[in-house]
Amino acid sequence: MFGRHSSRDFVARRATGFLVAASLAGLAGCDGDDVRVYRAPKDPAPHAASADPSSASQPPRQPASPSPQLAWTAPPGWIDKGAGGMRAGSFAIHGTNQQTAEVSVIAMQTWTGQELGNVNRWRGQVGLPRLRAEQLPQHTAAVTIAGIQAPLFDMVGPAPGSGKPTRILVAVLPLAHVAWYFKMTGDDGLVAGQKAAFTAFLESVILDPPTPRNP
Amino acid sequence: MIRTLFSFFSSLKLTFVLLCAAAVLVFAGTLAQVHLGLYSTQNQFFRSLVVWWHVPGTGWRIPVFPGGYTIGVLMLINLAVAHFRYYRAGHRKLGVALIHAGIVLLLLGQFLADLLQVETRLRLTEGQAKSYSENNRIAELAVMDTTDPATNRVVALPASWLARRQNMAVPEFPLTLRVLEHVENAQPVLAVAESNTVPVQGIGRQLRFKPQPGATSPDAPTIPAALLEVTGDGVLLGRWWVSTWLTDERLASMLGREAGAELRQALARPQDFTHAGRRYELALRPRRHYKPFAVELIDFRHDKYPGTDIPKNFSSRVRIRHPGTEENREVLIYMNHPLRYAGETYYQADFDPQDPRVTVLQVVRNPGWLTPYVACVLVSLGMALQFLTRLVPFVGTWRRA
Repeated sequence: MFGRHSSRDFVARRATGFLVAASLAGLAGCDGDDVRVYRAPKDPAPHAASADPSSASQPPRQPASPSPQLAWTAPPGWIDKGAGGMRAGSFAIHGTNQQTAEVSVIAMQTWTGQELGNVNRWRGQVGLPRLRAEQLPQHTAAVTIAGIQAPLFDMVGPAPGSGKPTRILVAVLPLAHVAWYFKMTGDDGLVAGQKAAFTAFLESVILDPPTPRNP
Repeated sequence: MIRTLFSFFSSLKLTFVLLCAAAVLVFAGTLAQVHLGLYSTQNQFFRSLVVWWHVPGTGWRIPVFPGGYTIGVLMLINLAVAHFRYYRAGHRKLGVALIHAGIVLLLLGQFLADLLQVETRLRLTEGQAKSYSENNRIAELAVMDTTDPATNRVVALPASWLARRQNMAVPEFPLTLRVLEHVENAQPVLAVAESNTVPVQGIGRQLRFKPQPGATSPDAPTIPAALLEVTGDGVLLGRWWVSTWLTDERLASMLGREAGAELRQALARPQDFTHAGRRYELALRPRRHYKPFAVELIDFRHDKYPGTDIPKNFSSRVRIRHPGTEENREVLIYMNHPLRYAGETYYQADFDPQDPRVTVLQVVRNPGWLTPYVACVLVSLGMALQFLTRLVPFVGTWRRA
């Protein structure tokens, strides 16, 4: 009965090895004693809930606006399509030969740590290969939005499916608790011709305007 | 010797003893939970090799029963060795093999879940959005460069370092920290002029932290505090008190309710300083787990049966914003209906009785959450197969008879 046990011993050793390896991997993955270095978005200001004890007896308030408001001046020829859904603003642009482009302004919670993933997603939308992290700076230009230096990405290539030359311009304004994404996308010729207008649009942005948003 | 061990570990008597021991352990753990609380019971009875008895009035502890890990590992060995001893390959035994595989997967899955699972909490007030959850049982000392207007550069040091009272050069920053005082489980007291033996900055001018008197519940998380001396490039920059009393929102909220207006303003200010043109901040806080998305609480409801204070339902309507996927959607989380998202499960766990706008979600990351389901499917298939392999020949014989 024990004559065939060499292979069983081997199996037993493998199983023990697996258990030990799994235990070590598990212990390494525990919420433990390591020094971590990272970038993180800033915390919101101390919340009213902790700052104001009398608020406990008050009825629920309206949700606070999670982000500062923006105002901008649209260049001539841009058709204001207004806000809606995720968009804080959107515009349509019509060129010659039925070329079209659209501009959207979207507020998102996080930008830090997502740069490469987002850029590669946009590059995928115009059929470009993915970038590695060290290549990202070569494909990043700078633009000033509301007095803050912000990254600007310019990507052009054939749209998957149609093969039509398509260009995407994206600028990201990363603020303390929110990142504003300004994106122009459309036919290559029209977007290339509108790049100066897009830059002027970005430079017209002001933060927390005293009056309602300015189309 | 090997033969004896093989016989022992493949014995059905051992199976019976282990099953009885498991039943006793579960029963004893259930009773102990009343006094120890859930967290301590899990650690002492189930996430342990041995259950210890602390002899009252002495510092001694005596092993009294095998712990959950010992029983689980012995069960696994018993099942594996018995399978090798008794199993003979063949289609008629396929059901047995599936049942055994299912049980092994169940045991291994639970073992790995215990080691890999991370439980954190997400406390949100209506209108508030966070891209991190917190482990309120493990503290970290965050040293942050807050100069950049958009983001902080964070060096998070394990709070266990504070207890060792060693000097530490902060990685990445030109700063050195020295622990002047460390309180493992602190309570805040109002500071008077002579309460601090050295001049301090920040909240230490109003508060200092002393050890909590008396015993606290074994299940309650400790609330650490420390007085730190900071030097930058060899120059003394100051001394600051740090504590999770100041950063854990529940505790800070309690402290704020007790404090006067002046102290409340001081509590809201960070423990910060400037060195070499950069602005830094110190915070001893619950360990944070950042996520690539944010969760915003839109509405928290605590419904009661009409005319009573009996809870009928707790629910949190939250918005998920994920810039990577441009996802922006609302989700309703309520009792027994958690949100599963990005490898984590968000359960409606708690609320703040002092503030009707606050919800607390439990965030569980368990890479092995599917294993119990797969194990149950395997065992069910095995049982069905085993039943059919007996039933079909029997029906054939019966018809011929």
